[in-house]
Amino acid sequence: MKSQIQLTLKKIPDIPVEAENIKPENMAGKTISEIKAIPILVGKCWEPAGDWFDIGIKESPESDSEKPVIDLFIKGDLTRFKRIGEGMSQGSMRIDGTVGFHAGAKMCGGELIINGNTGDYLGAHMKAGLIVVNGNAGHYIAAAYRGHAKGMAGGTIIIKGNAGQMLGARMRRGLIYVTGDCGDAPGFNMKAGTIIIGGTPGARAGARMVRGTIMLLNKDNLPELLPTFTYNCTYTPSFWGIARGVLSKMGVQSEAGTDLLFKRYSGDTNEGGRGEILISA
Amino acid sequence: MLRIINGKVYDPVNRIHGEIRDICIRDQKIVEGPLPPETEIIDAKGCVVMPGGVEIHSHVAGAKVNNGRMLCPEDSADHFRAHTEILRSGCNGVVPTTFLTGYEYARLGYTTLFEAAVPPLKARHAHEELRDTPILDTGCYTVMGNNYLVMKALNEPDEISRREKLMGVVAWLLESTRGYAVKIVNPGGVENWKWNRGLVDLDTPVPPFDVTPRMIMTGLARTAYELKLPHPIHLHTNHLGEPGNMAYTLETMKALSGSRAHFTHLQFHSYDKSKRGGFASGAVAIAEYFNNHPEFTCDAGLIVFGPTMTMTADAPMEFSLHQMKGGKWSNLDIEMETGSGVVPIKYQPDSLVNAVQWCLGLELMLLINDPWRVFLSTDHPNAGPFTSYPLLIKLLMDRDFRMSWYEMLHPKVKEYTCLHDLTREYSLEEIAIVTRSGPARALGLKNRGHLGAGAYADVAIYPFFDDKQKMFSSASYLIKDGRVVVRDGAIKESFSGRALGLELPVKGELAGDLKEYFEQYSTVAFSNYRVEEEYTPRPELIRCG
Repeated sequence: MKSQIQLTLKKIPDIPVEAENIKPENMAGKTISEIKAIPILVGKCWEPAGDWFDIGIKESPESDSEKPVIDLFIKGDLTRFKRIGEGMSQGSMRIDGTVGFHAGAKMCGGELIINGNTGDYLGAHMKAGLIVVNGNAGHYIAAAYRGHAKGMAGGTIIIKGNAGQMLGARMRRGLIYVTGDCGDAPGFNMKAGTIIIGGTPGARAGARMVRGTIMLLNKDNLPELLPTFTYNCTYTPSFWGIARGVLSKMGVQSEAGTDLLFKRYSGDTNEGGRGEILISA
Repeated sequence: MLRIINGKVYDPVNRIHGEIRDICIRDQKIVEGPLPPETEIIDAKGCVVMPGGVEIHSHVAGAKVNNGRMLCPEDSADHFRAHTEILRSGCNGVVPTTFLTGYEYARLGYTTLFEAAVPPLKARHAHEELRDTPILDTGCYTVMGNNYLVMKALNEPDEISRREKLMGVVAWLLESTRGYAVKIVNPGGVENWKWNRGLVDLDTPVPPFDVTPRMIMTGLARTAYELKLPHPIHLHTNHLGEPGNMAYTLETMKALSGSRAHFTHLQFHSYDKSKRGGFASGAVAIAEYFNNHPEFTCDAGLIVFGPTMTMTADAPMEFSLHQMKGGKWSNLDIEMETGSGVVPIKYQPDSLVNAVQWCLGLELMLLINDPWRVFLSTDHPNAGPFTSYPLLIKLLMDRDFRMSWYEMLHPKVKEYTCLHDLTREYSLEEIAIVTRSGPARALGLKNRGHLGAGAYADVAIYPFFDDKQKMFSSASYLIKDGRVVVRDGAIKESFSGRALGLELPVKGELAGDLKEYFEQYSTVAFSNYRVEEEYTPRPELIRCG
């Protein structure tokens, strides 16, 4: 049995809302009235979700796995809603509209699809799962919160628009793909993991990176790399073919072929120089 | 008025060793009784009654503590606590916020607290934070070991005028900062480091005045004696945390022998050197010397495994720690006074160095025979957070428990320590001494640390359990100034405590040339230097002598 839950925003709140309770596992197996009672923090008051959303449940008989899979659809401008899908671990959630800060932060499984723009700290400290943004994303995507040494620890984030500054700052593992451009300092102090940028990055890519890979698929209009990065060689890494295959399975088709040549730069020398930036030649 | 009945009272000062006694309280003080029959009664049946705890060395307020909080926002975010009707909100990480510091100390049964190192320029900040540390009576020590005025006074060739000038500076610093004692941190060493020079020994001349660490320590110890300060110099010697620093600590003790001194976090200063140049325990030698010198007191600085934050005015030590560990580091240069550094750290049982440190602290506590001269401390938060005191008490009181921890340490630790040979277990009375009566006596607080008539009505009541960690982790009752502050481990009332200061026998005045020097080089005007009395709204001045 597969149940589909539909939330439609009634009105845009005047003040910020913290909605970490809106995630698939909290809705699982609940009736409409139970879902309506789920509390969300509006300003400083806890209010039932039913005050803000129209809620509908549709049961569909087909099921492709033994576990009940919950599909959650949310519709509306959720710019003021923070922490949607925070810590979600299963199921899939689709949001048609813009979402606020911290969407999918600390996520450890499941799938979050956002058909709209997102705020900052998307997928911060995420451990596993998939986030797809069909729009632009804010700053600090997959980053570590203030003071923490390690951010994203696994999973995949695909952004089909542009991304803000400090993309993947301090990430430890996982994959970020941005079709468009991104702001300054992508991969700042990243510990490991992979960032692929289809468009033009801002200044200081890979500043303080310890390990990990940043791939820049567009060689035009690139800002100068930091002086702590040194040129090594031009080659086609074998993993590019694998990454391309994985991405195409997720619906991201790269125009570049499997035999694309990359110039490899290693750095940041200040941090030991074990990271790499690959720029398509 | 309040009467506590049926409790087993431990009051080492008045030689009450676990007898059932009544404690009578009237108007913030403990009285002989009898009290009128309608007096409110607390039945402490099955409980242990002790004086309120006295913390002799802890970093809870001021610039570097705040730096520590700012350096680890993630720790604060993970330990957030919302406000209640009585309590303020706060964060309870390894460096708790001010209000939570007060609440947590109160829950452990503490009523008096001393901030261990306040540079004179940062004294306002420290007093502001101490004022926001509720329930506890607080005081602070003024850092003087690298102060230009102190060093300039010591540079005076004529002995009589040197003594007079030094006394003037020390009294002036204590007065203007509203400090309680003379704190010395790595005397001369911090200043030497600022001049980009190496480590100092006892007789290394330190620029710009070419005075030596020996001159600074002995000079200040003598001045503290002449001013009849209730607490002698509070000394963090040079070479903290270096293997083999035991020899240097012994030399320092010899240099100071005959005059009173408090050696703080002695664990960090008692390392022997192994054949390969690594860390080994020097507790036996240090404790032997210490046992024969009744003029000294110390606190242990016990290590607690887990994440914590090191913060000290010993900036060079923090710098080398940062170079060793990588990661975060914060440094402050406090112009003509001292430095300071903050580095987050994690003590791990499988690290040989940390395991040796852990054993060494306990060895010192067990090998120093006189509990009146060694006190329980973790140098919060340097060696561990104060919230671990119940665990440390259990480690001291229960050898089997201690050995079960010992087994979990790095296997080579047996070669470098002697903890497995020590069978001593602390009694409840000795715990009462090392956590309250002893520190109160060392600090010269006559109205605290005991339950005799005339003492402040600061009483901690613990439920009796065989598991001492459980017993001391939250007080059944804490009575502060005769008011019930904690009941069954929960805070029931919160108010500001007193600010402990000194009533000095002389008026602190700077000699003419020193004043001129100060006005020439300090960023603060002379008239603005002094901390105004508004910063300590509830002062209690302890008379010197």
